[in-house]
Amino acid sequence: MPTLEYFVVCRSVSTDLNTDEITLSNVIEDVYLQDREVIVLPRAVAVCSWNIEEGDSTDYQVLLRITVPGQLPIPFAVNLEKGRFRHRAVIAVHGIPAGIPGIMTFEMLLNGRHEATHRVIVHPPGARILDTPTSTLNTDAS
Amino acid sequence: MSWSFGQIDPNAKSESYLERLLHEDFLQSVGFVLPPAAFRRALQRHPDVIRLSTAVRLGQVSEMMIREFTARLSSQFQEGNLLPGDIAISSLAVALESIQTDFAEEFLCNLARLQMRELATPIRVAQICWSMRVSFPKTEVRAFDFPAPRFQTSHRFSIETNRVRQQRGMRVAEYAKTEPCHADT
Repeated sequence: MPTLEYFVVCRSVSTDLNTDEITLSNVIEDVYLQDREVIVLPRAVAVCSWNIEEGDSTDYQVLLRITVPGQLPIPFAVNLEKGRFRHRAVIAVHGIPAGIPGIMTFEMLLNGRHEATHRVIVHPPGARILDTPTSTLNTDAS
Repeated sequence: MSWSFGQIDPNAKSESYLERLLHEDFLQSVGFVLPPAAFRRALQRHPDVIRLSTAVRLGQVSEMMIREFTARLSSQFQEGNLLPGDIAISSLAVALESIQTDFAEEFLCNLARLQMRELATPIRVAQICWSMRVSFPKTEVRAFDFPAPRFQTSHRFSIETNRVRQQRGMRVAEYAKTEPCHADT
């Protein structure tokens, strides 16, 4: 049975052509609703990595299930091909609606079995915390 | 001094990591020779093989040492008989699997290409190590639209930075200045 190595949801990914190493950019943890806005996430990319044991010879189905607060869960399915010992699935979903404030969940299921959950907090309008001033990030002792 | 799992003993001689592969304790701890794939996995977990791999990575075991070691083992080669150090060579292949050097590449590639019954196990182990070394993870990429009612608004991202908010506020303030004030008229 494949075992999940990692699962994370971010805004974009890039892959090095030479090394095939993947870079995850802007992991999504909080989003902030705004008035009259209906799309809260223009794009969310769910990345999961699976280790497939040598004895595993059957195909597996990976299911990403997105639950927007106040709406029904929506599934997105991807099949894992056999013949590899490591397998990544990169699932991009465009135009996730805002819904209502609450917890947006991205669930990863393998053959219907729950494996992992990535939770994103959807904040109400006006809840945005002020940005950290850049001066406080300056490490110059002088 | 006792070694912990996978840890390098600073007082150990460099040769000892290789010589350990020929030691009776090591051969007994490895146990029976399994099928190549299972044997590779068993060796991967073996503390002596992990220590050897770490020592190679840290430069405590050099390319020359490994060449001398394998040359010494191959001098015992007798046609029709299994090579006495076949488990040591298999362990060496597993230890070098994750080492990204030209020598490790050469060692695994050359061993995997051999066709000798006397070295059947090391060759099969090296072939698996080689295939694992060069195989990249398969990446399945899919893109979906969220199956929700189509909205007419643009796909503008919801997070706005404080700077953008300030700029927008300034624009609004400037716009307000230019707007005719109905209260005065």
